[in-house]
Amino acid sequence: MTGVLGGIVLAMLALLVAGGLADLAMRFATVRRARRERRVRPAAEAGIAEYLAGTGTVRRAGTAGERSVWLTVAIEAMLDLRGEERVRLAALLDRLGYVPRQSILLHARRVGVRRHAAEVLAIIATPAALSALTGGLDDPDPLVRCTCARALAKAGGPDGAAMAITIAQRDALAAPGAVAALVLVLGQNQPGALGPLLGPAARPAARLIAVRVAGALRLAQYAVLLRDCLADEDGLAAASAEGLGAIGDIDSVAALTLLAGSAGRSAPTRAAAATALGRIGDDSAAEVLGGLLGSADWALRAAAAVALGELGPSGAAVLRRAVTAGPEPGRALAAAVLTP
Amino acid sequence: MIVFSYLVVGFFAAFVLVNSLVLVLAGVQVRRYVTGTSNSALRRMLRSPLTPPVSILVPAFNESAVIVDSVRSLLALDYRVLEIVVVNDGSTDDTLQRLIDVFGLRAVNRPTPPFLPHTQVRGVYAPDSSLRLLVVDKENGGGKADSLNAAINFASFPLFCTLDADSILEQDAVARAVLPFVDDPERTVATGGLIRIANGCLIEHGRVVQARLPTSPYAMFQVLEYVRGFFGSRTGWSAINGLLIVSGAFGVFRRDLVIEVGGYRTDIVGEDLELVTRLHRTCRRAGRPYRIVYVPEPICWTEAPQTARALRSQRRRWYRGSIEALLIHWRMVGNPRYRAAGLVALPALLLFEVLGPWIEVSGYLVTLAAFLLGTLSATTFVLFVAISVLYGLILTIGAIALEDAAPSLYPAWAQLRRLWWYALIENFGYRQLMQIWRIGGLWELIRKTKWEPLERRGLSA
Amino acid sequence: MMTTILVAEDSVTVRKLICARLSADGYQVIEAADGQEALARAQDDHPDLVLLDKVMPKLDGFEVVRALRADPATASVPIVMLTERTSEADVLGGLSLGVEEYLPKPFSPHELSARIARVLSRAVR
Repeated sequence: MTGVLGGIVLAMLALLVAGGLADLAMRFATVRRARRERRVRPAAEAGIAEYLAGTGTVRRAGTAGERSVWLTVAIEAMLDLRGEERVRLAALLDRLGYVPRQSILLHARRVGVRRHAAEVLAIIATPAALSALTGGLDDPDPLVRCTCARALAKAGGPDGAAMAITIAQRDALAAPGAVAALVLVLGQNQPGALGPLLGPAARPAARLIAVRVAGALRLAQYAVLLRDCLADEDGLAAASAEGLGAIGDIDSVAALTLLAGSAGRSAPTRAAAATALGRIGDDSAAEVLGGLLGSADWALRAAAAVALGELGPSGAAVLRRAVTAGPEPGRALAAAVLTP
Repeated sequence: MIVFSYLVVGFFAAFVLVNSLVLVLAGVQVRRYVTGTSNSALRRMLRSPLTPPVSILVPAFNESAVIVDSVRSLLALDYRVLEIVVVNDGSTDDTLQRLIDVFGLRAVNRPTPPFLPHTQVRGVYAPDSSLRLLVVDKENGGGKADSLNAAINFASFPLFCTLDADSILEQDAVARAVLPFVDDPERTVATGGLIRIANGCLIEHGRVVQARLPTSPYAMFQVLEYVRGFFGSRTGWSAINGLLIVSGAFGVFRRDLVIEVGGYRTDIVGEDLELVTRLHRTCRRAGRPYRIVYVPEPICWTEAPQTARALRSQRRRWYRGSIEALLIHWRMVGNPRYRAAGLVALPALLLFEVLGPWIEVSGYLVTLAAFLLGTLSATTFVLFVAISVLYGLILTIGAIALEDAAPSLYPAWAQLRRLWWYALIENFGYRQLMQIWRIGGLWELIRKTKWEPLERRGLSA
Repeated sequence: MMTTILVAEDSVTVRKLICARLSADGYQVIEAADGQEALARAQDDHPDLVLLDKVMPKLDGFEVVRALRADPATASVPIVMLTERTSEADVLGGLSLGVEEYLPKPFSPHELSARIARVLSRAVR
């Protein structure tokens, strides 16, 4: 038996030594990286700042490690900059050979490398970087595809928009966050192109994202398409109600009132409709909202009370009536909204 | 007796095997995280109007000394839209008054939402300014769970972040913990982040200015336990969606889902462990795809207990919490329906956390007795001792290696030496002491269920 | 006397860039890399305007504003803030603390210098 125990001890010792060596290696690499960063970073920071201020020139950094620190510093600065300085920094990165290098990495075998390259090229966004990104649109990884499409959508052009919509449809389930970022950029830069994603022909997941974006950006031209979504499933209906409230679309009051009052829909969806009615602030919603004060769901009652509070005199009148004569569960809420 | 000794050796071997596998998974995950998370994604999220707003929940019981600094630094967190909900859990000091004075609060008429049960609310306070701060003053509910339930009721945003009143957050901690929700809004239900020990660090104005290793040995041992627990274990469990603990000191949850499953249980001590287990259970039962994610970076600093007394009570509480969660969800243990959580994570919790201390301590006693009685040869005895030391050491070194692979906080060589030294000596006394203290938690559990079943809340108010 | 501007920003490139820009515009510039340093320099050197980044190590922008406003010596110095966040509530929160001007990141140094000139001319009047 001692033999078995001895074997276990030896195996464990071997594991321990392996772990210790791995730790030393990791620590060594980390410390070296930190040292390199400490050495290269200040020069890179000062160099880039002087170049942008027009008081200095920048030469290509030496080793690969130094270049990577340099690129990190430049990308960080680009994230904070807009306007002329940003354009000049991008042109500098292009000239120093970072764009061709990242364009090659965009087709690397490891997905992490490809994602990083796409991200960097999307930030640089010079014509050369954009043409490289076109090559990443059919990447097997959805995040890489979305990043490429996002950069192209930001740069503008009808091709970019069409491509963005195709990719948003395709990847909305696999990479919802990246698609949301893509659709947001599309909505910010080419709001007119968002239409196909908002219609009933769009895939549900992509449509939901587009509805959220249209609402968050208050794109009033899509109010009609959002209104159509109110009759759709609960999640989509709630998101479009919220969007219509943000837009303040007065023509949707009837449809929202109908949604808020329909007993067949889920309480959160009806609450979203009530909240939107409050934000739009049209008096004609007051009666239906007053009726909701008697609803069985607390959150719906609360949303109705708050919305009534935003309607002005007509809402206040309904609230005052509710405090004295309204259905019992809504009284406290109505009173709370009325107290300043 | 000898057979028993070998059983214990088998237990050690199983422990090393399972945890090494978890460690390997953790390694893959850390690597994926380090290469996959970019600064630009974080910035994009902070600037996007689609980023979900977060309610930060701060339960406070007699926190007069730290509460103002805490709330101030929370208001300064780097995030798009935040609100802070402080729940004053019937403090007997001037916690509430200090908040009222410093932030210019006044009483507001805010009916109590009925989603989750908790003790009576005495008043709600909000500032006149546009600061997003809400203070709920309620009767003492005997614990953090009750306060969190009240805070969840009053929270108005789709995500909430739980904290301890004395946790110190890095400025981008919330943003990083919310990132998984942005990447995958439908499936992500909870995220937990890395928690570090603040003892020894330089702290000014409620934030950590310089990270340092603690000087007190108790705190130093706990640094190792945290490195093991967070880098070695949670990261790995998260890779197979079997993460059971999102620490109460820092975690982000989906509010609607937590309300749906009934919030925190107030009759147990391990409410954070139990809630996450219940989330696994509910999601699997409903057949909905979900992810509970551990993010190996968001940093929350917390004060570790420095005295033997405080440490012992903490360990007893943790042990009791594990047993309670297992008793409540015993049907999940080994049940293939619950996948990684039921098949691996809960059995591991049962074997290593709950039974582990008993097996280990009795193993020491029996082996020692066998050696003294002469039935065990000196060589075997020495080998046994060697195994018992090695099995802890291997995982600690592995976890430290992982920590070093991620952007390191303690980068000097001298500090590595110190970590290794403590990793070695914790096996001679500290670890055994912890196991014995944990066993004490069982005693506490039995005493509680016998003598004071759930009735404490009214008494202490 | 030259107009002095304190630039508190933790990103070195951005800070140096702003400083270069402002020096070219004829201001005297003091640099600070974190909130604490910013506060100390503001109290010692009495700048005519303080430019603060919202997110800084040690002491964040809002805390610096609060401390500056609490000290009678610096209570009236105009403050311009650079911030990642542009949500209404935050801007209002900052304005209620006494921040004169907000500039969301990403920003253009050109625009920054124009805004600073405007704030300074208001302060003189």
